[in-house]
Amino acid sequence: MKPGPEAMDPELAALRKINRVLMERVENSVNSTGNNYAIFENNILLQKQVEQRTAELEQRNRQLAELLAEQTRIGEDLQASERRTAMQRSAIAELMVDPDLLKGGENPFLRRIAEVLSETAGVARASLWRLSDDRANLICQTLYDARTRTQTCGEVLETGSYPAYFKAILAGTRICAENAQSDPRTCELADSYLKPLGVVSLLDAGVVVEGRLVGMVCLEHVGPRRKWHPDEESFVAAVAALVAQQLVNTERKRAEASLRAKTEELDRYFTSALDLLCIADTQGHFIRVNKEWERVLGYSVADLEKRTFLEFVHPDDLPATLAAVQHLAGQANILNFTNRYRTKDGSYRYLEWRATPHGNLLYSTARDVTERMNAEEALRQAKEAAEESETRFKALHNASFGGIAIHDQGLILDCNRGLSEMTGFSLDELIGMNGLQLIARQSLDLVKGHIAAQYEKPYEAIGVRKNGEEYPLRLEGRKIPYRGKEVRVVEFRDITEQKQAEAALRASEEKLSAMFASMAEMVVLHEVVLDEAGQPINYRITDCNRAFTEVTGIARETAVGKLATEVFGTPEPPYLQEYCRVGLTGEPLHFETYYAPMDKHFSISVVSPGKNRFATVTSDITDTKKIHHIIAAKNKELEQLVYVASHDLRSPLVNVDGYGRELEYAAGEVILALECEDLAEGQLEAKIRAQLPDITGALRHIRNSTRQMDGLLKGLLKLSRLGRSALDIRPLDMNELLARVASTFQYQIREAGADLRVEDLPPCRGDDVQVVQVFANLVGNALKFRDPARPCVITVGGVVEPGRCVYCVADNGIGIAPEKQEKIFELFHRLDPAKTEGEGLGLTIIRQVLWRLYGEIRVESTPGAGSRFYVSLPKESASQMEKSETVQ
Amino acid sequence: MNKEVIILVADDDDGHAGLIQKNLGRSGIANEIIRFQDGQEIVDYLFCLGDGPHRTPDIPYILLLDIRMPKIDGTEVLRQIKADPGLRKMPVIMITTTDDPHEVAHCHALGCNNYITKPVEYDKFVNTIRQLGLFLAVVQVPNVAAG
Repeated sequence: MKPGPEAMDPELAALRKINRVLMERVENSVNSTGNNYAIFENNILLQKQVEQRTAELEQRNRQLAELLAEQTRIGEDLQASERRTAMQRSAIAELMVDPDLLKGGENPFLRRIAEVLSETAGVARASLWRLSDDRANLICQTLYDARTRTQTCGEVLETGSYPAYFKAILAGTRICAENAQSDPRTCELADSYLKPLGVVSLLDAGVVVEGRLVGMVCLEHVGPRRKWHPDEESFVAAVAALVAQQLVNTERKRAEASLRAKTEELDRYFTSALDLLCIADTQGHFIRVNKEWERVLGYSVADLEKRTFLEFVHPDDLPATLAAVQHLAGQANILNFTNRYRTKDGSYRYLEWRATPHGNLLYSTARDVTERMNAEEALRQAKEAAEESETRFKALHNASFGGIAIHDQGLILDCNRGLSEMTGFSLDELIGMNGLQLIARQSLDLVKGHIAAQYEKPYEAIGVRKNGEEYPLRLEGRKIPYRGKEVRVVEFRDITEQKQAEAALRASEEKLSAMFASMAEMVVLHEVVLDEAGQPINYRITDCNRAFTEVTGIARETAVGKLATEVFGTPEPPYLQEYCRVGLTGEPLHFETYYAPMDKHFSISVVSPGKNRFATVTSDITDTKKIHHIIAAKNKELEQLVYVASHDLRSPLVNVDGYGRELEYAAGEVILALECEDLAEGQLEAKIRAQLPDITGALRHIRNSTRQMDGLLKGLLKLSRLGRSALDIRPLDMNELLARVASTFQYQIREAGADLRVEDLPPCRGDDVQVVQVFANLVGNALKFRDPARPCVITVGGVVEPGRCVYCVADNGIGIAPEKQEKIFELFHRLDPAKTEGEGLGLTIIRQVLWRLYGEIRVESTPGAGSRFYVSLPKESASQMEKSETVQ
Repeated sequence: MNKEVIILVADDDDGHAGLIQKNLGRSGIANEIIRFQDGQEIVDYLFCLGDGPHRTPDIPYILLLDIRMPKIDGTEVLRQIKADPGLRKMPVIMITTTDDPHEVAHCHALGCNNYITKPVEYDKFVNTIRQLGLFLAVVQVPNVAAG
């Protein structure tokens, strides 16, 4: 309470009263001058009294002023304290509602505490410290320096270095050190800590969690010494409690987070585990299953969790399963229990269980062991099969065609009947015998070596029978366990027949290859080349013979291994489809073809010696084709002859026969007339005469026909003779030859007033007589078919073409219509028999002659203007050229 | 047989033509017969070409045609006749010495009405001509339209 002025009023009133008495006495004395001494004396007394009272009053006043000052100071202190407390309250309140308090995030909150402490308490430094778990160190969590407004942390104080200070802290009370540097509790810190930092006063409070000191809250005052107020002590204690609370919160948060993490981890594990995890109750309900169940059973997790697990158990496994559940209900674990669960598709999976009960709940893991169970089943079956096969082996052992022996370093422990039959030794003899006795001397080293080296591949050796006969053997040994020992089983195979077959095969191969090489036909072996889709796209030559090289000029080395397109240089492999069909189907094929790139005709046989392979046997039939062509021409000529025989020769026969019968009719009439007796004079004669024209007519027809027939036969004979006459082919001087022809026509030429011009002609090769015949016929025709409207001019010229001489007989005659130009060469064909004479043989003969002389004839003609017959014959030097070509 | 029908015989062989005429007469065919020496003559006559005689419009004709003839052969004559709208309906009987099956087939393909081989034996020949006579007697010969 601040002292009010009323408190001093009684004192002042007394002083004023004394003053007033004194004043009255002074006035009285002044008034009674007579009595001056008395008055004087009285005055001095009074003076003294006044002075004494004044002094008293002054002292009282001083005391009063001091009291007043004291009262004021106390009031101010009180106010400061109240102000501080308000700040402290609001700071605490602020920190208490700080969301970080509950969050447990340490540093931001602690930093704020330090800052609030510094501001609220008005100290330069405020810090929070943590006591290490071993209590060896105080570690600064945060320190706020109000002068720099900065936070630092990490400083460490070793408790062992400051035992008194630490003891004081541990005692659990606050340390309020006005003079920290000299205070017995904190003076240890003076040199190392307080002095360097200029800290003068300290106020520390311990942070206690569950009765244990875990840290410190510390106010460090810089400047003049500071006396700590009780409210400040309380404030620091409250803050320390807050820090403790915060630490508790942090710890709780951490524990919660860790629990949550654990739970999540478990959950993740539960859902992602590859094992089947499930929580069920002893009543058989699924409480929770993991995802893996869906995969194994095909039901969704939601489906499963609605049902009881017993529904899924295989009926045969139900009793055992119920027993297991009973066992679990008795709070005992179950290990490796296996039962079958039905899947959604109705099949069963084997599940192997491990389960732990916890009260009413069963925590189980199961594993799908179906594969393993199946494998075990398969293994069991395999074992049975193996046992069976051993029995079978025994049987086979004896039934085998080969010989089988089980031996230990050569000593035969067991063998089959086959070995006995092969070697000639009885079974009794063989068992216990040294198997090397069955091997011929020359093979002993080989066999011993192979036994020693435990060689396991088949190899050949020479065996010896009981009778001393040697024979080729194929041996194959294997290591086997036999009656607990590691021994060898060896198979003997008599390969005498095989050897003979091989020898025969070799001989036949040699024969074949000799034939292959010497064949006149080209033989080429190929393999089909397929694309990804299996379609043939090319073929590769794998072998070819000499004939191939001779005909194609392609060496074997350049052809073998190459693709057809490379070898033949064509974009498409020749006859790909035809060949590959043979290679793929195996059906042989034969065809003849003209292969344009080589200008040759080939006859090709294609056969397949194996899948995707084919061999071609190709004959060059170009020459044969030429001959065929000639034969075809000859055949056509022959057909003409047949036609002539059937038509032209029959034609006169029809007349001979027909008019012969007409003669018979006439004779019949004559006879009838002669037999008729009652004919009048002259009637007989008239009747006979009437027959005469018919008779003479018939005879004329018959004579004509026989003449006609004779002509035809003569023509045929002539043609036949021409074809058979001996040829004398030699160089011909054509100028000389034509001169001779011209001379034979001298008369006709003059008669016709014609002009025969012979130019300078190149020499050729031919038969003189026949070539004369050719040109005589042509000149004769030119004269015969001249156009009477103009003077006949016949020109004979000649040019040299490669390998040939071509002569032309040109006339200005009547010409030949285009459609007749081929017919004129036909046998006995005459365009206009009525107008001109002839046999219809001339041009036929010319063609026939030229065939034999390797010559040709063709005609160009314009009706009404004239004709040009071109005759080509081999050049004089042609034969020499042919010879030189052959040599090349 | 229709009296107005004229029989055309195209055969280069006089003897054959004579025998045909005689035997047709002996078979009771009294129709007018016109003889042609070669393919050109009959073509000229039928198609009214050249200076020689031409056919008369509205008279029905029958043609006996030999194959192997000078200038134009029988098959070519047949082809031309059958290619002509006016002459196409005229009966054409091939009478030839050859029985070459190719030629027979060829003539039938071209549209000949009959094909007769001239037999070498006279009796057969007569027989054939008689048959022809019978054939001609029953055939309704259409008039050949004006060319």
